[in-house]
Amino acid sequence: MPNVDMLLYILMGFMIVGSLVAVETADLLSSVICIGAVGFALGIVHLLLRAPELALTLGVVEVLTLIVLIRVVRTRKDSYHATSRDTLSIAVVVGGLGVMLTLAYFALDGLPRFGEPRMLMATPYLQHAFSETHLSNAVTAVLLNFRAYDTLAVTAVLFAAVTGAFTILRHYGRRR
Amino acid sequence: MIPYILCLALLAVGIYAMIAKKNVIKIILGLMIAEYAVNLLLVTVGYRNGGHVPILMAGETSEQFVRGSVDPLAQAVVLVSMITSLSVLLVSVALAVRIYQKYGTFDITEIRKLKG
Amino acid sequence: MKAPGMSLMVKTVSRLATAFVLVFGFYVLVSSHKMPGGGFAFGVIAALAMMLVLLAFGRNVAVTFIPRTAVAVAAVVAVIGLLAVGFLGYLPAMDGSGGAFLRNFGDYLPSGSPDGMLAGGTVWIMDFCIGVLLGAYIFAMLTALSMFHSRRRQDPTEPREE
Repeated sequence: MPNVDMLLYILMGFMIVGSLVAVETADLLSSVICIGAVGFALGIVHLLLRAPELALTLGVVEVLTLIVLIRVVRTRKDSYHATSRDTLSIAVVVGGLGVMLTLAYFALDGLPRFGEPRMLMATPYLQHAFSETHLSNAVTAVLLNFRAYDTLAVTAVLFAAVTGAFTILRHYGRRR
Repeated sequence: MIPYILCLALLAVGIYAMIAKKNVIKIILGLMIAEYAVNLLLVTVGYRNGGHVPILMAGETSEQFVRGSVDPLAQAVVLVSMITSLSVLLVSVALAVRIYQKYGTFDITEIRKLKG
Repeated sequence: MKAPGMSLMVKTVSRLATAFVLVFGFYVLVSSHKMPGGGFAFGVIAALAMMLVLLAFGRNVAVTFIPRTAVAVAAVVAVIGLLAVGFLGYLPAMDGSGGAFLRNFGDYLPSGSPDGMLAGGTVWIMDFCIGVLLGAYIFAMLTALSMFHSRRRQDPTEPREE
């Protein structure tokens, strides 16, 4: 399917433009909505890259994210205006990012070419996914059978996040 | 090679937002953009030209599956990372709400002025 | 948050829609062995359904629909289920080889068919547990955020926004 590549580039370009708009616009509500658009474009990219599981989860996660962020920023503007003092620091940041991107470009040779994955670890998983676990879906087999320790660790991370959120938002300690 | 470069550009946008912006919400958005970029890079590395979804089709043998499927490991890792990034987002939103409640602004330069 | 929630129309529609959203979540959960989806997708879909109730009815009514103790008990049961699967892996396998933590002891369970619903030995148990746990955790965080919102509006010492 030769058209997939072109569609992929267009969607990725849309994501970059959308993120730039989200970062640079002065209205916080618009930038949050731009992030929503970027997230749904990412969902379509996941579908193109043959990852429907990720697209399904990302769609739902994106809706949750959008609701939470919109409720947080209701009618509030980004009041900060860049002064001439900031020009130097922004230039330093952009220069550093340029250096990072240049180095990363040379490091890309170490990655497999696009469309030809190496799959050293995934080949045995794919071979044994059906014969050992009776699961047709290889992603579920990897997630919950071959790499179940990862999933257990994620529950620990989630517990830490819940504890952190309740600690940050707790009632007591608010009185001055 | 072009998809990798586009992913890196997206990552650069996210890091730029995290470092250069002075608004807490913008910083959170930059974090989200960087997470998107990294997830996308992982899935892109696992893509196979003309490959199919990592689900065994009816009547497909194991060898055909190995040769025809995209990388399931990258997708599993990204799925886990997506859930983690959702909880990280909720915690950082909690921090932002808390900052707004205490200082009345999302602007980190104002916060620096208010409390030494 | 406004005290009585949203309008009657929104409440009625969300009461109907929540059931469908949850049914879709369960479909995604029980068919995860042959279709895209699984515990993580079920967790976020269930959290979204509960978020719908939370938004439409307001927090004070929503906590009577979804009591906090029920969410906590569900999370605890899910964690116990995960640990039980982990430690039952120490059972020696039927063919005589030794056990290990989190081993898939599917040889003791009735083997589901790949075309049916619950295939894969311990995989579907872990899928259920992960899904319930994720839904409970995310809902807990969302409730904490909404509680903070409603409390902040009543605080007279809060700096006014222009």
